[in-house]
Amino acid sequence: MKLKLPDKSVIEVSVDGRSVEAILSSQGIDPLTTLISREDEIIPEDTIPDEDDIIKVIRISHGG
Amino acid sequence: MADKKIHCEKCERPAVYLDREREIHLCSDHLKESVENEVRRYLKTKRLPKTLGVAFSGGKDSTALLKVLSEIRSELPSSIIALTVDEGIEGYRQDTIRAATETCLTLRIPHEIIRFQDLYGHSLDHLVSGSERNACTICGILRRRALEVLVQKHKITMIATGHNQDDHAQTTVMNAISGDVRKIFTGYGPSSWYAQRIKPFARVSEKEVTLYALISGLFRDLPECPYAVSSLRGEVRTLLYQYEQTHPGAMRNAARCEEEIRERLGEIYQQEAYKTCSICGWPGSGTICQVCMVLGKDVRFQNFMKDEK
Repeated sequence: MKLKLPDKSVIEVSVDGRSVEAILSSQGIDPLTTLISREDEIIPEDTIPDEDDIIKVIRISHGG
Repeated sequence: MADKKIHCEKCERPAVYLDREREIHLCSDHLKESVENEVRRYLKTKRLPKTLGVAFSGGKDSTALLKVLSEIRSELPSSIIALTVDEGIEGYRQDTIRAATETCLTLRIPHEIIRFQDLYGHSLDHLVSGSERNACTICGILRRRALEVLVQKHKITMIATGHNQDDHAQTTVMNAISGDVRKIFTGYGPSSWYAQRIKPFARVSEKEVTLYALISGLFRDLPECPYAVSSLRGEVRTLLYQYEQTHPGAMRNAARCEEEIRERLGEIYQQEAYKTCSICGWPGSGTICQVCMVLGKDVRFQNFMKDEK
């Protein structure tokens, strides 16, 4: 699975039956501070992605 | 490929949001409905005036609030006006002010902007340079006053702010950490100078607010304020998110904590009378108000206010 991070970098991660939430946590990203999209559609963080998915991480900016 | 989409608890459409506390999923329509209903519920507890001011920075929270209010405006007894303060923060505020202007045009809501530069003679960048005080403290004090100047200009008696549940939880913990018991157990009585503040998103999480703005097509990936990076709030925020992940509902409980204490204190909860600032004449906590203490010898603001009166 490919993870597109807020800084535009892309990393390859193995899903191994994990949810996006677990994958983000393993990368040191707090899932509560982000929104997740797949094919331009927002999905909940407990979604279990496919190995060929591209998941985009949108950072929630604070304030405002 | 198997369909691994998670569906809405209420309608079977693809879910966009996991409510961790209630352990349910919601689609975009039902999340939108949930947020709007929460704002309706909150506003029913308030006596709304003829004109409701909305403190509108152009960021996601106040943008979402303005959108909710525009969606339900036919149900409200009030007309809405968006009030924006341009603090003058280079590399940050230009984008958010532009976004604020565009949003108001889209939603057809009247919009008024006031600038630190015009009111105080300097931008925030100038005022914090060389100051030992925290930039967020200085900005908060001056922004509140700037907003009140707009409030007086438009004879507004109530302002809605975009503060969400996460903000409330953070403030509660910050007050506890700083041992600021006075902030929790005392307050000030009503003043004809200041508009009443209401917080329609008090029971709506930051994630719900952000999703609402995104679903409404009004979310913009705007930069964060450069001064917010090193604040105590940032540290408390990180701490609370860790708790929320392992103990869903922790954020809501923290947000409600201070409010419940005040409710239970009833009449014991003290409301002090404002003192009059000997320099600018505005009501404040001391004989010299916080604004005049921040501005020091700069008299431009005082002259401005004398001209206005």
